[in-house]
Amino acid sequence: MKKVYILFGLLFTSTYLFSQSLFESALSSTHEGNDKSFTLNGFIRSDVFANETDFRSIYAESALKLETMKSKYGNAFAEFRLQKNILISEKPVNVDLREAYLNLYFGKFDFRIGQQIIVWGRADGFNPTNNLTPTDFTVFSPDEDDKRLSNFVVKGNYSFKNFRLEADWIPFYKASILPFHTYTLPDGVYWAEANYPETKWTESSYALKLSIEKAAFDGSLSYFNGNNKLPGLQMQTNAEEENYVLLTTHRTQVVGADFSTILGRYGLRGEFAFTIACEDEDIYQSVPKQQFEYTIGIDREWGNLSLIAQYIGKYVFDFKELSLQDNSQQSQFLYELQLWNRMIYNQQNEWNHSVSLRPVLSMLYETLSLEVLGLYSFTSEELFMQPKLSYHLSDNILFTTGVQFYSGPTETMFNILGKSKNSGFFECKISF
Amino acid sequence: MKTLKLTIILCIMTATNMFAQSNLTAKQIQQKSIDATRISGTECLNKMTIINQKGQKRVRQMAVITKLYDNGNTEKKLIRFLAPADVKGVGFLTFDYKVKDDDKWIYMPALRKTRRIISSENAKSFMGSEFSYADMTLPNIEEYTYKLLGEGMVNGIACFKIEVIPISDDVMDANGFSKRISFIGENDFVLRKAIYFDLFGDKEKVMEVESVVEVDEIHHKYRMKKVVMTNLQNGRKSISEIEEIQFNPSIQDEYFTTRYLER
Repeated sequence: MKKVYILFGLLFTSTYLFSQSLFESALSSTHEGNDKSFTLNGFIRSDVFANETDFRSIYAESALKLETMKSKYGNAFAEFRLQKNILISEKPVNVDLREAYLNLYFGKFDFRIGQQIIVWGRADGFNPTNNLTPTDFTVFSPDEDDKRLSNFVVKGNYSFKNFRLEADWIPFYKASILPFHTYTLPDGVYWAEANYPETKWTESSYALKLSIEKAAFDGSLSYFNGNNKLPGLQMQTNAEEENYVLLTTHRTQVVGADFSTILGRYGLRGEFAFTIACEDEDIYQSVPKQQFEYTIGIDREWGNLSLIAQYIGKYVFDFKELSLQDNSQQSQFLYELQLWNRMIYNQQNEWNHSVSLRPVLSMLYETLSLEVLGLYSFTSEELFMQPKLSYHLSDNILFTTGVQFYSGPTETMFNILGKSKNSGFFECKISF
Repeated sequence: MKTLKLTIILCIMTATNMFAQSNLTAKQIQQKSIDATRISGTECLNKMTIINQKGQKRVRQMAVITKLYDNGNTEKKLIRFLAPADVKGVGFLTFDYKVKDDDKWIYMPALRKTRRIISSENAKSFMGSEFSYADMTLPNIEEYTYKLLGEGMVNGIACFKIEVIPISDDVMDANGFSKRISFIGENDFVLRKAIYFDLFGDKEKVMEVESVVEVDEIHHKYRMKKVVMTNLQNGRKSISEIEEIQFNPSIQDEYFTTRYLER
C-alpha cells in the first residue's frame, strides 16, 4: 500500500519542464490553449458471460486512466479499475490499481518505473518469450489484455544506432492465476498458503533484451532469469504427518529470440525460447522440465480481410511418461499432482504441435469487425475458439458479442478451462 | 519606360515558363506534383472528419511529423492519434520509399507492442475514412501510366488534366482504383482535384483540394491544407484538414523509431 502512495505522490508531482516542437507540444501541456496538466480517459462497460444453463460472470466495470502531459523528461500514468460482479456477493466492489508508473527520458535512456504490464514477443498471441508479467486465466473479458496482470518493474532502455537494449528488474514475485477452484483434494489433504519467493535481492527476477530495428527487419535476443510466472502444485507433509498442497514457483532461465519481416505480400514472424529450470525435479512434483518452444507465423491481407496463421511447437527434454509407483493413496495423489503440473506447464508430451489462426474481417468503414481466434493442438487434441463480433455504434460506444470455447480430452488444461469458462458473451462499452 | 521593359521581360519569362510547362509529358507533370509536396521536414496537427450518409460526424485528431531521407527518396512519417479516446495513443510509423513497398509499423496501446504491418494493401480505408492508405503516402510513379488529357480549371486555377492508370491488376487491386483523373496546378504543380474510378470502371470518389499552404517558401513546397474526399456511390464524405503546420527540416531522427512510437 505504501508503494501505491509513493506512486500517487510522484504522479501528481510530475510536471512539464520545457516548451517543445509543435508535435511534442500536441502531446503535452505546452500546446496553445491547453492549460491542463493531465488527461483523464477511460471507459465504463457491462459484461455478461453465460452458457446454456448458468451465468458465468456478470459485471459492471469502470476504468479511469490518468496521464500527466508529456514533458521533455517524462510523464506519469495510472489506471484504476472498479468492478462489481453481481455473482460474487461477498465482495462489494473490486478495486484494482491496474497500472501506475513513471516514464523518465534522459537522452538515449528511457526508464519506466512502477506497476506495469510488459509484453514481449513478435508472434501473435502465443509468445514463448513473454515471461515478465503474469496472466489471470480466470478473467472473463472479450479483450485479451484484461487477462494480463501488472507487476512492479524497473525498466530501462538504452538506444544506440539501430539497437535498443532493455533491462528489467522485477523485485516482487506475482504468480499467474489459474482456475484451481475446480480441483478437489482427496480426504486428509489440505490447501496451504502459497510458498512464493520472499522480497529479497536474491529472489528477484531480471531480464535483458537486445533489439535490432532495421527498415526491412526487426528482431531481438532476450534473456530472463527469474521466477516462473506459472505456479506449480507441490505436496508437503508437516510434523504431524498431515499432507497439504501449496502453490509454489521455480527459478527459471529463458533464452529467447524473435523476428518479423515482410516477404512480398506476406508478413513473416518467428519466436523461439529455450527454457532451463534451475531446480532438481526429483525433489518436487512441480518443476517444469527443460524445453524449447517455437512459433512461426505468416500474415496476409486481402483488402479488409486479414489472416494470421501460426505453427506453434514445443519439445520437452528428457521426457518420461508418468507412472504410478504403487497403488497407495499417496502414490496416486502424487501421480495426480504431477499430471496437474504437466498440464500447467503444457508438458504432457515430448513434442507438441499446434496451429493458430486469426482471420479478421473489417467492414462498414471499420465500424464492424468479425474476428475468430482459433488454436488447435494436434498432439493433445485441445481446441480453443473465440469468434467475436464488434460494432462501433459511434466512436465511443462499442458492442461486442461472441463465444469463448475450450475443449480437450480429460486430463488436459483446456478440458479444465472449458468447465469453468465456456460461454457466450455480450459487452457494451463506452469510452471517454 | 523602365516599367514597360520590366513588363516585357516578365511576359517573356511567363511565356517561356508556360511553353516549357506545356512541353512536359504527363509523367513529368506527375513527378513534379510529387516533388512539390516532398518537404524536407514538417510537423503538423491534423483533423479528419468522417461524415456518413446520415450526416453523422466522427472526428479524429492526430499529430504528424515527416522528414526526407536519402536525398529525398525516402519520406519517414510518424502519426500519433490524439482523439477520440478509443484511438488515442495509436501510432503509425511509415518509411515511404520512391520505388519499393513501404515499411510500416503500428503501435496499438491495447497490444502494448509495435507490430510491423504489410504495406501492399493500400486500398483499404484509413481509420474508417474515405481516404485510403494509398492517399496517405506518395505514389510509386513507375506503377502507373500517364496520359495528358488537356487542361481544366479547378476553383479558378488552371490545371493540367491527367489520366493515371495502374500498370497491372496487382497495382490496381493494391491501390483500389482502375483509373484516376488528376487535375494538377499549372503553376505550383499541386494536385487540386482527383476523380477515382473503382475496379469496375465506375466513378467512385472525388477528391477536392480546397486550400493549399506553401510550407517551404524558399523551395516552393506545399501541403494540401484542406482536402474533401466524397464517395459518389455511398454519399459518405471525409475531410482532412491541417490545423497547424510548421516547416522544420531539422527534426530529430529518433522520432522515426519504434522506440518513440511506444512512448
